[in-house]
Amino acid sequence: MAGYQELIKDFEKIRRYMLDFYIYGFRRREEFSYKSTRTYDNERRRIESYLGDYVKQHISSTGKQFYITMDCAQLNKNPLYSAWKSKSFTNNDIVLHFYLLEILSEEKKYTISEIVDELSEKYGVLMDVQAVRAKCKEYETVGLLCSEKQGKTLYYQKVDEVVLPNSLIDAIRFYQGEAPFGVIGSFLLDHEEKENDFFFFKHQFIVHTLEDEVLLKIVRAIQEKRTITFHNIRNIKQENLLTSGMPLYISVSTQTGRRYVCLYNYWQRRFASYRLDYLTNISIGEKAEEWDYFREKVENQRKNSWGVSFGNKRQRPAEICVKFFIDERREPYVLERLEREGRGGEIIRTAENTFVYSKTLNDAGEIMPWIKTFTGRILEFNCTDRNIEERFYMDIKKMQALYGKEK
Amino acid sequence: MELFHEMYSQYFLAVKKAILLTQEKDSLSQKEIYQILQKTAFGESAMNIVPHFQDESWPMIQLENGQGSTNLVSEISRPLSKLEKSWIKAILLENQISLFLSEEEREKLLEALIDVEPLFSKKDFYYFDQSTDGDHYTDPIYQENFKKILKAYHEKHPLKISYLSSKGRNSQVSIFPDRLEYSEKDDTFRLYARTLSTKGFPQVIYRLSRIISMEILSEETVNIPSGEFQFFRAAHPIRVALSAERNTVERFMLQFASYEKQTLWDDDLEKYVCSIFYNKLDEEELLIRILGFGPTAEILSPIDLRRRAKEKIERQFEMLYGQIGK
Repeated sequence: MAGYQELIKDFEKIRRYMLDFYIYGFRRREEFSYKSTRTYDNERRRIESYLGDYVKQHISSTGKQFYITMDCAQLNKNPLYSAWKSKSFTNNDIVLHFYLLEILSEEKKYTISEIVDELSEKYGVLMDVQAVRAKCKEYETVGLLCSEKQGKTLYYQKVDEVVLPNSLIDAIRFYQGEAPFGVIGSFLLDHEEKENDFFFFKHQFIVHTLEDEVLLKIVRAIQEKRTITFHNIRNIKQENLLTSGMPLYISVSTQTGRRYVCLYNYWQRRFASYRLDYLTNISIGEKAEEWDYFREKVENQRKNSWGVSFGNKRQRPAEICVKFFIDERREPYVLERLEREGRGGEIIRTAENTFVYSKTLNDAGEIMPWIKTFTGRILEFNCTDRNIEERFYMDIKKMQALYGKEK
Repeated sequence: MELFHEMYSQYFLAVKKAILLTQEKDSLSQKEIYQILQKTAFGESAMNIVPHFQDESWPMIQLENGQGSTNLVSEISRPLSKLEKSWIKAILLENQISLFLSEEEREKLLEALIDVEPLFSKKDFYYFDQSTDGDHYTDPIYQENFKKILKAYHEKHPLKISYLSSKGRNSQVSIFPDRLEYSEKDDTFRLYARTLSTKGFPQVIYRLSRIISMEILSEETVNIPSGEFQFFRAAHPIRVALSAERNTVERFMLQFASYEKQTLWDDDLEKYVCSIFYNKLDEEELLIRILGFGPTAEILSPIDLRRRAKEKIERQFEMLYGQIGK
């Protein structure tokens, strides 16, 4: 394939494909409609190179499918981190990286001219003064070097090393899988030439790392109390909608794998949540003077949210009330689950083995998947949103019809 | 601060390892260079990198007559970047850090990073569906036990633990820790270990919050043959037919993304069928989560699981509508 490179310049290029191979692995080549089939082939080849055996293929009469699959509970590191370690570079980048680190390894300061001379005399490496100056400036920006002016002369040296004790390395082994931006933990383990072989993670959504660049900008905007502008690619219609607002916090679902930015949308004049995996082209804007006010306001309003929805201005919050049958003696764990997962809903024992759960919600639709996990125990279901109530009863009829058929 | 930068790349890491090995051995054969590059970098990297050594565009390693040498003499070490320090600062402020570091160690590191801003703060993240009865990380006994497990693992010593079972019984057993598993959903740690008192070192799992006390048996060392922890993998996957309604396919694929699975179009059903490969211990949890999708996700097999789903649904139908058939 002419022009194929194993490494990439822009992370966005691989982000979408990796996400789709992982989440939508059932799609065939021609169903990836957002770019050409040649782009598909290049990205597929790259992903296979990065992920090896985690990429599988299935051939059927309708075509070939490539998909990424793995049992995440058995992973001691996130294979998708490899995408972050695939940045392309020039010859000068890699040559200067190693020679600068060696030249500046002694505790001595060098001017740019001295570095250029050292490269040539000691190592036979001929390098342009501009290239060396640019690299030193770049490395100062990222924190590897520091500079000091003495008179009119600028000197460079390496910054002091930070020694990481073994106890912190263990913490990094854990946090590379648990904390936001865990890929940085992976960079640190690479740096220390250590691996993680002890910490594993259940219910781990490794795909989150593909949003880390988006998340980094949003988190920075939150910390600095600034606005953002972004494109929102809604999967269904493939439209790019430009949206702006004041980001207030990140909502995370540990059960469904979705992450959202919750922000105050200026144009709609309300709080709204946007999925991180749908966002691109984030720009950080001006300081938002009223940030603290809106943060406090949204934290109050979310008390009536089951998930991320703040409901509809035209609709009042809905009351939901469910009567459950739970055998108190033999199934105390079910009552414990109701309490543990109920997100502050009220639970009252009304009779032997009978419990009523109630809660007021901005959007009652969000609670329905959780209610249905108690299928087989629901004596009564009531909701002031009649649509939700009717749909629940209809769904049970449909499920009975579905499972009533012989397979 | 850039996340996507070449200094973190697999290529830089692989070339560094090749340089260090060449320094150690004075010279390295081309075959050995290929091996280290293939082991460290990506699938096609070695064949991209080696020509640069051959044509001297990357003079860090010179390849001549099949032998590689380097003119770099020091142990090339890169300082931590601002991004890396900023992330470390953020985790030092997390509440679980006390499981790993003493307060003294933490303060010392914070002092070393005094000029660094933390990259993130968990107060800006809202985990809206995390269990409310997670482990108590501020409990000094829990912290002590956690540190003992790490110490025992690293030094290969067994542990004698006192454990409260789910039935309220206090048991004592000698074990060797194999791994710690964290669940963000439950906010708990589970210890996977091998029991030493029984032949064959059978595998056991303990909730860390139920371990009452722990002692490192430092006079003993353990040499259990390394091997994969057996995860009671179910013999057959759960097969689920997914309807196109309510965005079920996308929601289902994301929610069960952490499981190994395969999804294919079924011409007869005119639906996608997803096969989930799973640990038998997770079966009940998977069943109720699939039922949470309602009529848009139908369990096709295994037969036993479909039967259990059917029983729950029939019971539910009767609770709401009266006896089936009447």
